[in-house]
Amino acid sequence: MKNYVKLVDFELKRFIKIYFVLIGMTIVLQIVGVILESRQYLDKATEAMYEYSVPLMEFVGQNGKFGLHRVLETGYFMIPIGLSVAALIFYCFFIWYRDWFGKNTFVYRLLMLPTARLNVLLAKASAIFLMVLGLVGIQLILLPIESTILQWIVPLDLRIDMSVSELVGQFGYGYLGLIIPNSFIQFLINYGIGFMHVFILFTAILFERSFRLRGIVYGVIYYIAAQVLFLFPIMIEVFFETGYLYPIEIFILEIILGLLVIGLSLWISNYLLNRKVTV
Amino acid sequence: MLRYWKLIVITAIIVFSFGTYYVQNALAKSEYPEFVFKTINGDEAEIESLMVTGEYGVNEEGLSEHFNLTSEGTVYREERSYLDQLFYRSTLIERLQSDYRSFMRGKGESSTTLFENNELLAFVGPYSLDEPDDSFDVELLDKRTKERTAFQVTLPNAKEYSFINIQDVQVSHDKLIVISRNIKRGSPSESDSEEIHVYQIDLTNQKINSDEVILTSDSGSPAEWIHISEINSHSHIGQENYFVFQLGYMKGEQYGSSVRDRTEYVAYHYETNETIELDLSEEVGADPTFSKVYKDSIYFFDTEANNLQIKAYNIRNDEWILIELQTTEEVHPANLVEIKNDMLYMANFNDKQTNIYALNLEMEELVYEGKIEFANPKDEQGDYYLNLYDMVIENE
Repeated sequence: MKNYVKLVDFELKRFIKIYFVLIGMTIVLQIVGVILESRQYLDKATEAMYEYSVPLMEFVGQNGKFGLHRVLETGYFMIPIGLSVAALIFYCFFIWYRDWFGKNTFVYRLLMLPTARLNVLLAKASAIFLMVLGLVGIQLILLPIESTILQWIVPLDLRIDMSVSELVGQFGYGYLGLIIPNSFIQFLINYGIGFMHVFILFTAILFERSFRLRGIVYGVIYYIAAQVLFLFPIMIEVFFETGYLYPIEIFILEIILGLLVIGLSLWISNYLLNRKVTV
Repeated sequence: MLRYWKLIVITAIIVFSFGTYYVQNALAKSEYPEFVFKTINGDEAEIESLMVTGEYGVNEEGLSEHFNLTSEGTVYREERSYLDQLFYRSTLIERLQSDYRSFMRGKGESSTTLFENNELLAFVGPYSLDEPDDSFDVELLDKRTKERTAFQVTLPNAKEYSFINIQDVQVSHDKLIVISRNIKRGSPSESDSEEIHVYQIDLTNQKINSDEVILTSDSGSPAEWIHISEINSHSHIGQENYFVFQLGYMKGEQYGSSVRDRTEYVAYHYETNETIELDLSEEVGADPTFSKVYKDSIYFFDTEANNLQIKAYNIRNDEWILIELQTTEEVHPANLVEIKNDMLYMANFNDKQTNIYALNLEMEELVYEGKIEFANPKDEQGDYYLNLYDMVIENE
């Protein structure tokens, strides 16, 4: 256990600089976005009301009230979130390959540690999960702060105040509802599926590391096979439209299959790490 | 410990942010207002089994949410458990799936494909038939013996139709009757047309006995076509005497712009297999009026003239009954109606106000008059709207 914690901390340390950059960029861009977009809206309102004498009600009728949901759709929000997602997906690969291709084949030392080799994989996976959830957590803390900043700039008559769950719930069909679902069950579903994919990907990478060129084929086959196994009940419904299983039964089956795929990936990874992987 | 600060800080952020968020969400009380039935006249017990479904929204905030209202209070969709929301089914389908779990398997969630009486539950499907399917699956469940009978019947001339949609299923004696709406593929020079078919399936030899076209959208003249709509409720799966269609004679092109010229009614009688053309234009005029079918009668609701008037036409006796009701509150233009056990329930509304009526059809008497009100009058402010779209009489 202690070894595992040490390893997780070690993996975090190796990415922490880039991670801080991602966090910093998110905070700065989003807050700047809120300020600029609020100002812009306010300027427009002032201009309409003072220069063209448009009544307040009419202005609101034409332009709608301002709220954080409007900033969510701009690049100030989409770009840092998109970049963070891309960076973390990229790091899922890099977290393995840097050990092989970095200075003095670090993986050699990692695999020689006096601990179960699976711990190395679990530590890498945990580091990824922590960083993903950490970024989303920061976004969750950031939203009320941004909401307050917006309230400082835009007067009450011109804005809609929304709680985080309203922001996500009413506009939840967008990307924010995907990363911050309103229901805890949906949160478990979304991140469960996400983390399952990380485990499948890690197994595919280990296939490649074990069998090199041939391993790429094995890896791709494993990746597809795992998806097919996971989506099997849904695919049967889509292609054959039997409707034999009730939706709740498919749901339970999917949970079981998801856990099965994670277990299978860990089992194969463990085997590859112990028997097949080459340095 | 201190050397693990990164791990500790990130974990703390995750636990704090998600913890607060989901605990807050779980504890948050619905911000939407509570509605109640307020009795004006009569006994509240009359509407105990009534459930009205609608949507409440505030225009300027762009917020809206669906709710169910019963005499026990308002339940918004967001207040239901998440899994309930995820696997939402209509009350009827939910009851059937829980009572006949095995039989209902693979039968979809459409009520038009089902028939139920005290003895049996019948299914004909699939609800909609595409090419190259050319047969109905028929399955019956004897409620007492739990015995299931399943067979397939091949549809005659199925190749002529691009699409077949089941509208109603009835069982009487040893016969199963299916009413369907079929899209007939037109020859290259003409457009597609719609036909209403009545399939009679013999339950003893498990074959289609007859396939009759009782209505068609093709009026025979190129300048006119017929818009066919069903008056019987699609969510009603019990015994029916008549299945009534409203025919709108439209001038113009079917898939372009067209104007309604006149409205006619046609009733199909299940027992005698007769199609009866009804001439009701004198009483209900050329424009379609909101109507319902119950037992032998079609009920027409006229709330335009600011009083509640129900005209009932008995198809069997060719008789009209006029029910004029004195109401306390002002009458609104929109209506939702359900009829069960000779009781007619009616929600009469505009986008803010709703009257609720319960009418005993045998006595032709208003036994309940009430309205939907905000439980807390303070909530009634701003530019809100109420839109009702469904009404269910729950089984006692």
